[in-house]
Amino acid sequence: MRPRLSFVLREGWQGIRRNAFHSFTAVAAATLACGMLGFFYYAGLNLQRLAGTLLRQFQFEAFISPGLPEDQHPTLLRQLQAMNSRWTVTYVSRAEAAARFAAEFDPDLFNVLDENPLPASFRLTLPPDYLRPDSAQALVQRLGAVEGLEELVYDPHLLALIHNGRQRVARWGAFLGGAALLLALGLTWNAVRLKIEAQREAIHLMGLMGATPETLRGAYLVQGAILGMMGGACGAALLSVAAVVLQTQLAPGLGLALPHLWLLIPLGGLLGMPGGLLAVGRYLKL
Amino acid sequence: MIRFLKVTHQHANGRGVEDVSFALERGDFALLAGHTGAGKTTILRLIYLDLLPQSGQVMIEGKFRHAVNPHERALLRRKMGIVFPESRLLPDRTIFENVALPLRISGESSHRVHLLANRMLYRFGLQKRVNSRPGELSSGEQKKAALARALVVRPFILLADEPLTNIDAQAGAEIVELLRQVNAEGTTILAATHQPQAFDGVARFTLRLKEGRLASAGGGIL
Repeated sequence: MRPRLSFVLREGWQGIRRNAFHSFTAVAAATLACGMLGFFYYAGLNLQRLAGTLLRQFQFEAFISPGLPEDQHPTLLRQLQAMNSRWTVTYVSRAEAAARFAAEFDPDLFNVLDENPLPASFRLTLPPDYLRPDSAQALVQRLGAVEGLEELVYDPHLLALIHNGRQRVARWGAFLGGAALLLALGLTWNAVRLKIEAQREAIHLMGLMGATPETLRGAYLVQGAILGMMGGACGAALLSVAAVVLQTQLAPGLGLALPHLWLLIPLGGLLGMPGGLLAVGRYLKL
Repeated sequence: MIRFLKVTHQHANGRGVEDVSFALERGDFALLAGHTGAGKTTILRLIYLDLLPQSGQVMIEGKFRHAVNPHERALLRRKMGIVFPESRLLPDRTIFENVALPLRISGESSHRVHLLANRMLYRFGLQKRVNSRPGELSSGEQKKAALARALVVRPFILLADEPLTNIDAQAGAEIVELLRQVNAEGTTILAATHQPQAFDGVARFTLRLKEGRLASAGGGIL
């Protein structure tokens, strides 16, 4: 005997419209739970993105020996490019270096100097995933062995700071996200459970009228899922509004990203369903 | 149709029924009479399988029901009408929704739900109360609504637990008359009551219970 889908859906939906206060409480709890989960997820995600952006801009500068003739610079560039397919190498000639220096620091400096003292160089960038303090150290050692290069310059402290910050965000994100998930589960389960327990007389009576356990479970599973999804939708809306306010009023140009925010809706449904099942299970015993 | 064979079921508080045997045939109108705690409600609960016998056997529609699975129990209950002492109408639903509930559980189409529920409400004089909540009805109307809900699925048996409590004499007389009509149409009725005299001339026999045992019976004895 399969549960009647129309009855299951009808009871599930109408149960939400009845006992409006309990429904409101359950949706509010699911909103808080989904909002909290979303906050931790997107905070972690955006911090990781920020670290990635900083790492993408992180550069190593390898200065070419002044004794190496300029016509051999392209050969050296090809040699460096062939050493590792993951890094990007850009050649900076002496003239370009002078122009950059003048633009950044003192336009008049070269007027008082007889000749350009800046050497030509190569600028190397690595994908963020390969950019770690130990890999940077290995890179320094490899480039140190290349003839024609004089010195490799980068900021190891900044690299360590970004790298460690990224790792800390990942570690704390996993811990806080896990704690938030547990809290969200407990919060939503309990609110949905209270909502459904308020209907225990109806559950008992429907059982006496011949509703099967599957039918009743189905109806309250649907009810828990709908309450959770409503909470998920409200949580997503709250996060969206918070992100807009943050970017327009407090920190313009922050570039916050909230990808796949709609996933909070099914997540809310998943959080709400166990609450419905647990609650109704207590009243299905003979 | 319903047979109790030396049935015993004791509750934790010591009350219940002991060694009870009787039979109800199709179309019977029987009363369960006795003081509070005599075991009337226990017998009704054993019939609608809210309790199972600790010893003895309960036979319903030709089958022993000592070990029913939840699906069998649900199917059997769909064919029974139950009236509870306090009416037990769901307060957050309209009278129509309350009466329609057993039909929806049985999987009737929306059209038939409306047809049958409205027909039953009309028969019980509640057609102007379809959109009212139970709290807006008098005690007599609530009893009628509960009776309508129990009968809307055309059950083979109506189990009425104290159908006349908390209502005045006039409403009681109307309920008795409605039960008489329902029985005349072929529905078997077993009513537990403190007031068997109100059913004089209507019920065919009375099973009198005393401290869980069948003390006397005007019929139905095995």
